Amino acid sequence: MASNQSKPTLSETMQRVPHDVWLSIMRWIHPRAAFRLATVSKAFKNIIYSSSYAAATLAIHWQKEEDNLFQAVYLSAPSKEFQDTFARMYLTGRNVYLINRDVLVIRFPWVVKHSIPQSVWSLVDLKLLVIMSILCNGKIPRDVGNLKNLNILCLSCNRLSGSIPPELGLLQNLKQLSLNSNPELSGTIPSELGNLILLEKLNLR
Amino acid sequence: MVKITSSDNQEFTISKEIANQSVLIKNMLEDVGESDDQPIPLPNVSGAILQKVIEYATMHKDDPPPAPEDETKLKTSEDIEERDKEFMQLDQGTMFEIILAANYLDMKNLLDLGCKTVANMIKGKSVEEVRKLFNIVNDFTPEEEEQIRKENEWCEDR
Repeated sequence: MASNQSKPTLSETMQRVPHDVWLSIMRWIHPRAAFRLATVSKAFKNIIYSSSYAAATLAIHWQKEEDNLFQAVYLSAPSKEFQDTFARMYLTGRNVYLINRDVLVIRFPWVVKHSIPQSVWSLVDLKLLVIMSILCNGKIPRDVGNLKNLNILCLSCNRLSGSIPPELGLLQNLKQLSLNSNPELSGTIPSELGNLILLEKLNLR
Repeated sequence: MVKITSSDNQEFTISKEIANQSVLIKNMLEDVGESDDQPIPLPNVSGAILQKVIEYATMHKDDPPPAPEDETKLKTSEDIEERDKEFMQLDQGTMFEIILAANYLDMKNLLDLGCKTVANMIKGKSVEEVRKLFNIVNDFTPEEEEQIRKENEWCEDR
């Protein structure tokens, strides 16, 4: 007969639960409910704020959510890792296309009256970025200069304001640039746009 | 038949179809070959837990192979078979021991079942209740906790 091993206590057991298993548990919890639990403990917070949690939970929850999930979760989540993964994954939804690492198209009014999500400017692999007819407001940030792989940038028909940032001149691969129909864009056309030697089509009005 | 021994040296004899539900054991069997009747040691799982795991595997031995994943089907942790729900009527400690065993033995269905069950327990609970439920010690200072709570105020309004 085998020796009678004493049963481990709950705390002993819990200490052996690895990160991966917690991820497999927490992915079933909607991000809104999960972030509310971030104060449980440091380990718990690290799981919820991680990009692996974002990927796992969005794979489950994005299908059944309304379009406002992007606003509700993405624009508010405090974790950069979460947001970045969200940008990459969730944006493949119905009206937002992150077709692959290269192409992001946003054309649905969930960003109405919001500025363009900051994380868009960290998707440095983008070759095509189209954010059109969704009444985005705010300025075009200088971070636009991060997207050095862009071939096409179209921000037409929004409510963007402020001036055209000279950083656009850093986008050496740009072939098409459309900023037209943003009646509140003001100021002069920066001379840096002259650096864009590949530019074939420019629409600013 | 396949022999396996637990961390506390209990020996179990199980059929091959049950053994094969564990990818770990399946791979081991393939490595050692058919003829070897040495028991397979499973030093990470106690006899009591192994007993439960075998009970689960026996219950599911005639399951059809899993259908290819339907991407359009909504996935939810509420989606648990009745017999599995009953199987999971356990104290927290045993439940997590089974999850750990399923993770170690590489039994996807059982791991999934365990994780869904725990997720359902977490749903709707407050921070304090979750800590209590799993014996988790709050290792934040009050200031840190307040800071993180503030960061997540957006969750409250719906």
